[in-house]
Amino acid sequence: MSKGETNPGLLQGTLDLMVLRTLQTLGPQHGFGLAKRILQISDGLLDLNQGTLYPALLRLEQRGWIRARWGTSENNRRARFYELTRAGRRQIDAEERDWARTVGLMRRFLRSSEEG
Amino acid sequence: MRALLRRLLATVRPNKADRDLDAEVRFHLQSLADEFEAKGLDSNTARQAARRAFGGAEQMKEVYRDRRGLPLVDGALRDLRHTARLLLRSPGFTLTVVATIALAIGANAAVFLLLDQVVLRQLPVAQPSDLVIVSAPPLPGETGRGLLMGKNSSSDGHMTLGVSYPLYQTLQKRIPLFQDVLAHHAIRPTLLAGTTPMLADAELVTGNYFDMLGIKAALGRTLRPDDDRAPVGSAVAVLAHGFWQRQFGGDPSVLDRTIRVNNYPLTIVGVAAPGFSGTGGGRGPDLFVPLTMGNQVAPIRGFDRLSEAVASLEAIARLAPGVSREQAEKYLRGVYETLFDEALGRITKTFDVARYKASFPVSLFPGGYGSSAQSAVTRELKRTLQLLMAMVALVLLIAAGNVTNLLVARGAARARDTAIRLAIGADRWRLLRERLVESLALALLAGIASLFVTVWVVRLLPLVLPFGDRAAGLTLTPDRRVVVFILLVSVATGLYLWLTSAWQVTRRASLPLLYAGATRQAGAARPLRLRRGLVVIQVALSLGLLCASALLARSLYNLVTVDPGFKVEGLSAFSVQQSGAGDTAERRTLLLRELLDNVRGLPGVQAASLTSTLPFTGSSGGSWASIPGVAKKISYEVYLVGPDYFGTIGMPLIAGRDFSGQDVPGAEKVAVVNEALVSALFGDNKAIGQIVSCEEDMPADTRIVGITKDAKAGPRADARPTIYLPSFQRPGSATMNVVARMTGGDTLSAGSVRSVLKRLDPSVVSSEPRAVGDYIAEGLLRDRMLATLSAFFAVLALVLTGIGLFGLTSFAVARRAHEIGVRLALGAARRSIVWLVVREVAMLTLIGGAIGLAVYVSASRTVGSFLFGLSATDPPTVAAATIVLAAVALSAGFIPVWRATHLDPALTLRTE
Repeated sequence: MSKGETNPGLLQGTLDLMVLRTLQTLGPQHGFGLAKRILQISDGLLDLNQGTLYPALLRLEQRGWIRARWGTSENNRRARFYELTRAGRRQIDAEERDWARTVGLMRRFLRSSEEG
Repeated sequence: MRALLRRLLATVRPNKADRDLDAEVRFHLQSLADEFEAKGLDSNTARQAARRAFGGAEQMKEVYRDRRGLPLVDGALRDLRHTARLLLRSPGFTLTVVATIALAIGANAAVFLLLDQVVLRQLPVAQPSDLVIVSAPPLPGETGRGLLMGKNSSSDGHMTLGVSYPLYQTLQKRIPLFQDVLAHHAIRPTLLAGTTPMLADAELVTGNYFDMLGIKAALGRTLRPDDDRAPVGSAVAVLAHGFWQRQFGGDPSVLDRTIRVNNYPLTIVGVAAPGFSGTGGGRGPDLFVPLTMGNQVAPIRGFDRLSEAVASLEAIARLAPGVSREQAEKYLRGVYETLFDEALGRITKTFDVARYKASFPVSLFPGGYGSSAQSAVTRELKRTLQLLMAMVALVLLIAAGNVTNLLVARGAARARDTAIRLAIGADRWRLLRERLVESLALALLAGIASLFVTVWVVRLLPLVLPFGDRAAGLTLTPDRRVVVFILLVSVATGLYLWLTSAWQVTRRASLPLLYAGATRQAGAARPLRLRRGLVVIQVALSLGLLCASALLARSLYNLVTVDPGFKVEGLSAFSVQQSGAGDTAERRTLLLRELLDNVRGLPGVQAASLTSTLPFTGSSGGSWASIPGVAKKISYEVYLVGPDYFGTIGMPLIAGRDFSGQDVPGAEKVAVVNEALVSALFGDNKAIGQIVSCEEDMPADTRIVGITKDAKAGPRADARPTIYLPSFQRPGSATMNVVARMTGGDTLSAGSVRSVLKRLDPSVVSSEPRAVGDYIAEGLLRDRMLATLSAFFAVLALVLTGIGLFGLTSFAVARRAHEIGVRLALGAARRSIVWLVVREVAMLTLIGGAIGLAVYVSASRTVGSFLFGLSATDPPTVAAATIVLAAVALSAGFIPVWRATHLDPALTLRTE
């Protein structure tokens, strides 16, 4: 459907959850801050072109999970700040559940093939 | 939803969103660079590192933009711009197409406007769909002098029977499936609200009328149940909003003012909310009066309006929630049976009403539409307008056929272009979408233009049609509903154009067109076949329309030329109504006598007389006649007429004498009858001098002194047994018409009549004098409307079909110009070239004509019910219509033929 907007190495939807989670912990944040934080937590495991973030942000905004407004950054530059909406907060729970289910499912598969 | 809106916004204003993204990216890069610099890189290297970490910015923006916009809308906008360019590049084409569709849609909208006003629109009352009209035959009762029955045939052709006040009360109390029931009855009293008396349309209504319909007061209050106590209610009236505006200029001080209705004083207590004009179509009542004041403001001699004997109320019920009309009807029939048996047990006399019970069962009819009431407008016009709507829809279909033809022709001209685009891999859907946008844009443009056509047509209508009073109350300006109609029809037309034209254009095998020299065969066989099909349909449809309209025109001619049995030319008439209350019969007669004398003295008047009903304008009502010693009773029509009546209107007497001024109360009771009555009552015996009874169960006391020739009762109504009685001897009717024979072709002047009346009795209300011929013409409104409009539609259809044929033939000639040139060069006779072209026209016309005739014959029943004096398949008329069509078709082929035979072979060959 949508073409090449996520890193091929990154599972579809994972970036969304990362962004939502980060916004939940950090509060309103601009794109640069988000990218920095996500790379920091991934601790070098994630090789991400930081630009990839923006289409993801747009997608989340279009779904109504985050909203954006212009503000001023720490070093007094104009920046767009993203924050969670109420729907976004609810979405995190849902996504977390989905993710846990996927992980559980995958683990079961991996274990059974180890045994077999 | 909001997201969609934002995306739309972003599509429409791409620049702002782009700038935002740029700023955001810039900020990100700067922040990254700052960080790198802080780690010790120099500013240049830091910027490069930042760009590397960010990734391909332009690529990302592209993805971002795609995601942001709505691709479909984006594409549509692009197509729209493309279309606009194309249409502007060929303004002639655009104009032709838009004008053709606009005319057709405009005509459709005009008919729709009438149909909507008269038939479709729901009444502006609360929950109109829950309302039902109750029709029930009267219950048997011990009435001395028979029944006064309200009987109406509604627009659907069904009869509704009026109910009596006691039956209404029973309905209201005993039917739990009805939430409530109201009753109303229209009267036409004189009204004195200032200095000049006038005729008003009043409505006698039950006290719950306004509450049940959910109508509030604009001023003061509406009627309340306690205004409507039996036997005599409050002497109050509520004005309709329109009447208040017209008559009182919206003056709020009308409250508590006293008006005289038929000379009975009533106090105005309120004005109903604007927009409400009763439960019928048309202009509606001027004022509302409590039903239980009926005996006071509109007494009927010898009858109590609130008794069982007067069954003329129209009852409207509101169904209880969740109850269907069928359920309620079934239940009501059961209750009615019980009521009927109860009533039968109470009386001794055998009752005739069982007859009505069998032929008119208790019924409920939908009551929420203007057309459910029995107003003259709706009754006459509903089916007429439906027929016209169907006709005009066919015109649109024909017009659309022409436009498709044009589009396909143009598509063929652009075929190379299309083929190249397909060949280099253009998306077929993309091409189709372009066509869709083009078709819709054309249709919508035409829709907008058609609004003007509609306004114009509607304004023209009353000029060509004698609407008379009946147009009053119809707001003949397009409103929101008409605009929505136009919009829907435009979109439908656009889709139709697209479906018929686009498929052909893009489906063509693409490659052969790219070969050199192939342009000459630009119209491949397939689109030509489609276009031929369209033309055949056009021919068929317009032949059908032509037949129908020719028949309707001849029918109108038949109606207009029916011999009315008297001399219509030079005859004028006006009506006078005397306010009922307090007047004695003697005083009324005296006034009419003086009026007649004065009118006879007016300049230009040769003779004048009186009549209760104008001749030749339909039924006058009547009674049963009999002769002593014979059990046979004859139903007859009665006219109360003045002295010299037959001489004045020019109706020949075949025996006996005219009435004279000596036929007065006290003198011998006399009557003039027509031949139909004579033969029905006496057979071949001599009738002059015989004594008859003019009233059921009354002694025979009236001597026949004259016999007239039979004359038809109206253009469509055959002669019925008729008795003319001298009005001075039997004053009965509060309304009389004065008829005057004028010298030359003059009409009686309104001013002189008014001054005569003012001198005699200023309280008398009169109508404007008019030629009797006009009254008769008005009675033929429906036929005139059908004939005029269908003729207009048929001509439109013919012209469009002619253009269609012309276009197709021209195209065919152009396509075969090379071939024809070669033939001419080789010495072919011009005759054979003519035949080459004409053959095509003739074939199409023949096939289309045959289909058209077949379809027409199968649909002719619908038209037939409107016709007078000829059958729906009248051979000469149908043949004439066919010949006209053939003539149009051949003349459409004439120019292309001429062009084909005058091709210069040298020129054609040189282009080789």
